[in-house]
Amino acid sequence: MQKDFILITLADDDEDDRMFFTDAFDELKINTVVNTVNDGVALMDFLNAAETVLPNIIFLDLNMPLKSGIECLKEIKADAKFKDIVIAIYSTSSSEEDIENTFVLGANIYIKKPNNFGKLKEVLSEVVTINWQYITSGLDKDNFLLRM
Amino acid sequence: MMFKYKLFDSIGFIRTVFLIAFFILIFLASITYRHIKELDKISDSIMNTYEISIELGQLISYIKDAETGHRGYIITNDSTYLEPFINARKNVNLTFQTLNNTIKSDSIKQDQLMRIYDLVDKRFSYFKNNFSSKKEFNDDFKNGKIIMDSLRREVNNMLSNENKLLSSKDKLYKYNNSNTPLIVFSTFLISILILGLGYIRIIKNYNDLINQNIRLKIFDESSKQAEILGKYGSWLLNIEDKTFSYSDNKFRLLGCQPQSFQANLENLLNFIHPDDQEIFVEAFQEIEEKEFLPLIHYRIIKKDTLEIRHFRTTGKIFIDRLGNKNIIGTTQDITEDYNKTKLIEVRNKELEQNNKELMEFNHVASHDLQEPLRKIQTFISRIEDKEKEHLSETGKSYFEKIQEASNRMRILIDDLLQYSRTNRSEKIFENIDLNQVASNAISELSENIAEKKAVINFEKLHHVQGIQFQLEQLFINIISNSLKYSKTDEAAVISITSKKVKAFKTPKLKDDSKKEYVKITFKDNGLGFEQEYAEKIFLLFNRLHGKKDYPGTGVGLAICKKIVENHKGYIFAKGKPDTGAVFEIYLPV
Repeated sequence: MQKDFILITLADDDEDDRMFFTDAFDELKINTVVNTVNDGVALMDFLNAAETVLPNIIFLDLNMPLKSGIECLKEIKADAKFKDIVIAIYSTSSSEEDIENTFVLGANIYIKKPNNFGKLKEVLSEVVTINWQYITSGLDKDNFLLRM
Repeated sequence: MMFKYKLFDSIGFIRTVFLIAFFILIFLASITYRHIKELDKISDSIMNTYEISIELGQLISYIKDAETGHRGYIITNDSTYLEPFINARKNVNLTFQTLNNTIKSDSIKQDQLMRIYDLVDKRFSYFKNNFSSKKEFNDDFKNGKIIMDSLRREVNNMLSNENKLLSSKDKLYKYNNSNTPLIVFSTFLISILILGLGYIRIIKNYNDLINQNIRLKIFDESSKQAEILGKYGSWLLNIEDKTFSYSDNKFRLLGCQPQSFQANLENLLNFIHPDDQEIFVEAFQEIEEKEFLPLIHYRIIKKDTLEIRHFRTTGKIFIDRLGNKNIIGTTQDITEDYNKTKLIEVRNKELEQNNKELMEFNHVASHDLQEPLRKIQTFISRIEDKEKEHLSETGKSYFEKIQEASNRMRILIDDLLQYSRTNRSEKIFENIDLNQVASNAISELSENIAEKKAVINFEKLHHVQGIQFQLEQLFINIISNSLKYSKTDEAAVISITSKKVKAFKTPKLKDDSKKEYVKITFKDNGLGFEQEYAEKIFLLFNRLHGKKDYPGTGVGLAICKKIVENHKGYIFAKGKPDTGAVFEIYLPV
């Protein structure tokens, strides 16, 4: 049964953003299980917990208290057991610096949080439906920032 | 150095000239001395000959006197006639004595003289006063004549011998000395010539020295002025006796009258700020081994005004011709520079602080403000989708106003972000093909261009050194500006041209150098603007039109100006209402 669902985890300290995120997936007719955590520390605790079934995609906010998205990204990429998880950066900022850094650290895609709910749904559906298995290697920096 | 070398060379030359002249004069003196000596000898022998011939003539004449007297006595028998005869005999003897003295060194002449003497003696023996017979008288008379004749011969003989001797001596002398006057004269001329050359050279050197001296004085005076103007003083330290010679201005820098004391390390310390004395003493102690004074910085307290001044000093070894070691040094009063640098440092810190604050503000404006705005907009979109129909008509219109305002805020923040990024991005300059830039900009704006049915012309644009994405932004902003302010009843036509210009031929650049710029001209047929706004349009958030007619933030052209300034270029705008606008951009090649 689990194979038919895409497991998604969002790490974001902003309550409203978490709400938009879950609402968007609720409205999208895609088989997903969305799970949210409130900060970087909570994310790593969740990933490292023995009973956790690892998500397929993690949406990672960069600006979080206690442990930033960048730190989480480094830790996840340093651990072999997380190697199959797709990392989507999910941030308000679209500064060159952040894009460059996360790309170098091995994130799979960079999403700038849209300012329109309709757009948000489009973006999330796009990311979730990409067949990531075919895009594991040969990442292209030009496609890294998702433009809709 | 050149001058020194020439002078030494000159001294060598003069020394040689005078040495040659000296030897020539010695040579001349010796020749002349020898010559005079010979002349002396010749004149002696001429005198000798002369004396001999006079005496011999005298001798003959005495004998003739004797003969006459004798004859007179014989004829008259008057004894008074005998007087000359007796005198003649005495005189003859005296003459012989004189002659003998004259020729005593010459044995041949003495022999001749002896023969003459014998003949004279014989002649006198025939002067008898009594004759026994007429025959005896006749014989005596006859014999007397014969002896007299042979006497004459002998005398003539001797005279001619003397003459021969004289003439042979003369010939020898002439032979020996015929060249002497020529040699003397010519060597004299040569020595005068050489001395003349020496004189000319001495005068020339003297004039050179005078000129050098004048130049030195001028230099000295100008360096005195320079010292006062540049607030520096020079000094000379004698390493042996540790005394300083100061220039006048060095004293003034210390607040003293020029040359008012003999400076040495001890009395100098009185001027040095107590905290800096160690630096000063250490540096001067090391001078001897290091043979130079490294640049040191210390403070002094001026004697007259008691103010603290900052000094900088350095020195270098100088060995004079006598081998004395001196340190030549310069000390400068750098208080003004020091204070300025301090001030600049403070200002720099303030600027850095301001910059930091601006960056933080920028971050807040562009990043932190975006977040709530994004949420507002997202909630707006949610209400629009789900709740709008529940609103009254007034509520709907208010809601639309909220939507518009938030959209505008979004654009403002985005533009502001772009403006600040223009400043911050890395400045790596490459050779950029402006044709490529123009095509990219046009394709970026293709929708907008199609909508306005605009025509954009460009061909054969130049290459410049620049940042590709910034130049593209520049082209996009200017073209979209033209599109935005195009006339509604006429298709927009925008032309882009470029040409190379020299800075000094373009007065408005206010740059007199020969630097080359590419001048890019954008010309449109749009609404244009009053020329008085030509500068204002580049200011941030400055707009010439109401928001309602032409939406915008007033950031676009400000970004253009920023980009052009990043490229160390210039941007100018020319406008005429209802005719169009021209943007001229000058970028360094």
